[in-house]
Amino acid sequence: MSSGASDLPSSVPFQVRDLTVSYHRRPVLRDVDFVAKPERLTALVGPNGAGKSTLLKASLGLIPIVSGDVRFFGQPLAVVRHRVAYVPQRTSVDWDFPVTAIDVVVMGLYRRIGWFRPVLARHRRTAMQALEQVELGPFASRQISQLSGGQQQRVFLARALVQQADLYLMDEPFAGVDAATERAIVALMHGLRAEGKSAIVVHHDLQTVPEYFDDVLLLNNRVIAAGPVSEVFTPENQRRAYGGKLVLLETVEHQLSLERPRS
Amino acid sequence: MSELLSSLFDANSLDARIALTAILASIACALPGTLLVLRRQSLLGDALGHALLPGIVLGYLATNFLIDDSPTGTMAAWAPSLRITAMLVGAAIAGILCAVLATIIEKSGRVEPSAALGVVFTGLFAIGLILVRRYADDVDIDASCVLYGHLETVVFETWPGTTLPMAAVSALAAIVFNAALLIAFYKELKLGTFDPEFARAVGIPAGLIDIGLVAATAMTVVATFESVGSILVLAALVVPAVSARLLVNRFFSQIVVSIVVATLAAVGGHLLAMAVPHLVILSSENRPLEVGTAGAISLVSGLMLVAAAAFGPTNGMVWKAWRLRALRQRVFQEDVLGILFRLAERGVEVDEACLSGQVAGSLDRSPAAIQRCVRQLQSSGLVDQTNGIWRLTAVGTQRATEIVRSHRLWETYLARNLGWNDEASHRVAERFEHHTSGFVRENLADELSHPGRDPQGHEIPPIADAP
Repeated sequence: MSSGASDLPSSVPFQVRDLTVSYHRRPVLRDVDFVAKPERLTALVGPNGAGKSTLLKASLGLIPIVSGDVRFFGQPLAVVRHRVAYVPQRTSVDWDFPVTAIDVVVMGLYRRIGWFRPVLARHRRTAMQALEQVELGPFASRQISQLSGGQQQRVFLARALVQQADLYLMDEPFAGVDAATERAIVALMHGLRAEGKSAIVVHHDLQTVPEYFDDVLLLNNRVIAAGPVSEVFTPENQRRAYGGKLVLLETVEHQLSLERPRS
Repeated sequence: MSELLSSLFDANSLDARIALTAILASIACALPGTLLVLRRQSLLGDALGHALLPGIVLGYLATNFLIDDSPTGTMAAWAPSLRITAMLVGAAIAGILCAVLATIIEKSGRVEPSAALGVVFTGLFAIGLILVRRYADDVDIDASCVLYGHLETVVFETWPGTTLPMAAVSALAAIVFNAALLIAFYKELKLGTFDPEFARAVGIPAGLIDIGLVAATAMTVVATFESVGSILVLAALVVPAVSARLLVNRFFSQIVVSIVVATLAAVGGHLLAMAVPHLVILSSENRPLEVGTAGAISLVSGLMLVAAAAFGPTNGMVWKAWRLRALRQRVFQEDVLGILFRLAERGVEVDEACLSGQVAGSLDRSPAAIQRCVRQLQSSGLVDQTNGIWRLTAVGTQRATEIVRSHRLWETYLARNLGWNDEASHRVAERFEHHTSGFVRENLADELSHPGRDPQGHEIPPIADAP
């Protein structure tokens, strides 16, 4: 997996080298090495506290890294920020905030609109198209608290879609969504891949990994295994990632943690 | 009252000047206040009100050299504005320091944000008090002014050559400053407030915006300090924004409504202070009593908040109660219609005794309540009385048919598809019948391939053609 080469071709959407991240001096990620392949959907799986969300956030500079190096398309993030879209966990924001669904989607265009410039009608049209893509057209002017969990998740996806990025980093897009939304997200991901784009997705439902994804990164503070699902997503590797804990219990535990309100 | 109002519109009157200052100070505070409330950082306003003290004192002390050594201690004409600028800058720095220290303590001490803020602002306030006592004891810092502000005397200090109070000018400057920032960074403030992580992921420096908001809030607090005081500034920052939160559900209208509420509270508070003269009466030492116009403004804005909570369009308690009452009444009326329909099916003649007995009994309501309900139905033209016998009118029969049809279709569905017994399906159908639209009802009938009778053998009445 480690290429050893210092310069990667710009076709490699995402690469981390020797990444170490700590929370309060406790390492959450230790010496993580990973190279994502272009035009592939990669599942990021591992038990709670394995550092999956941390890997995404640290890569995006949202939390400080202790050591290591992150490249997007062979470049530091600041150079290619427009090619990377981030879908945070749905529970990370206050859904009572006084904005409509389309307002949230337009936020994905803020960077492109630029400083000191207002949102124009054509920006709203672009956002509307993205909302229609996730089948939320009729809900555009709904206040976001009046949307179901699955609809809120699709609003977040639409916000990422308008960025027209080449790499999508998604943090648990399938958490707590209805079956229709789950199908919509999968269709969307496959559509992105067909357009030559890539996605790295924190995922919890181990059963659907082979169906939804091409590659998998098994993580538990360090890399357990990475590669094509068919090759590395073995029961043996899953056991190693989950530290012998029963996978079923892990899933239940995760469901409980989702239902618990976050402070 | 007309006298009060006319003095308010006389630009040179003292009242007009107090009102103007109050309005400007309230609007200045409402702008950053809206963002603080949306960020769930309301406490920050209170914290800043206290934490700024050392900055203000140091700004004051740093400009001491401006006063010449002559016994009269006069200043150059431009000196006061330099001194005010120094105090503003000192306050902004103290405010930023407060926010930065609180963040550091929160991160390294792993305590909750409000606890970290509490430690920092009380500490800074204490340092400020020590500075005042040690170096500036001669400074005329009046405790009641610091806490509550006193608009009534502030307005005597006017902008050179005009009757415009200095406090109004500084509040206006704060409005212009805040509005300019809000317009320039509107998108970034909105996104940074809603989803700071996403903002940073797309390259918008949310951290810098946080600091900017703290600095702007700090400067606003200083600019309006004399008018509203350090305790009431919290009310000025937070209450209009919270009222707006209860009234509207868009970011932009949130800001507009906050400003409107702040303005109304300022005018209303001043009128209240004038109408209740002992609130602003000057004591023998020519100092205002502790509750002045600023206090009255806080009171009025508090009342407006209560009104917003009661009458807010979606979450207002009054509307909620009213809607609930209307719903209860509709359900009751439909229940009575349903019973009259069933009695008519069985050929029972409904006289007054039947109403008070059988009808009241089966609905478990008092005869008086049934009487009231039947009169309402009569005035809506759904029932009619001839020769002491109550009957459904054509319209009433139509409505009752819909209800009974829904009820019996649901019973059939629950029994057939879920295998429920008569009692369970009746209880659920009793509730569903009130919330089943014609579309749902006929879909249900299609689904059940139009049954003629329900599980208990009652006819499922067909919908008659509209009369």
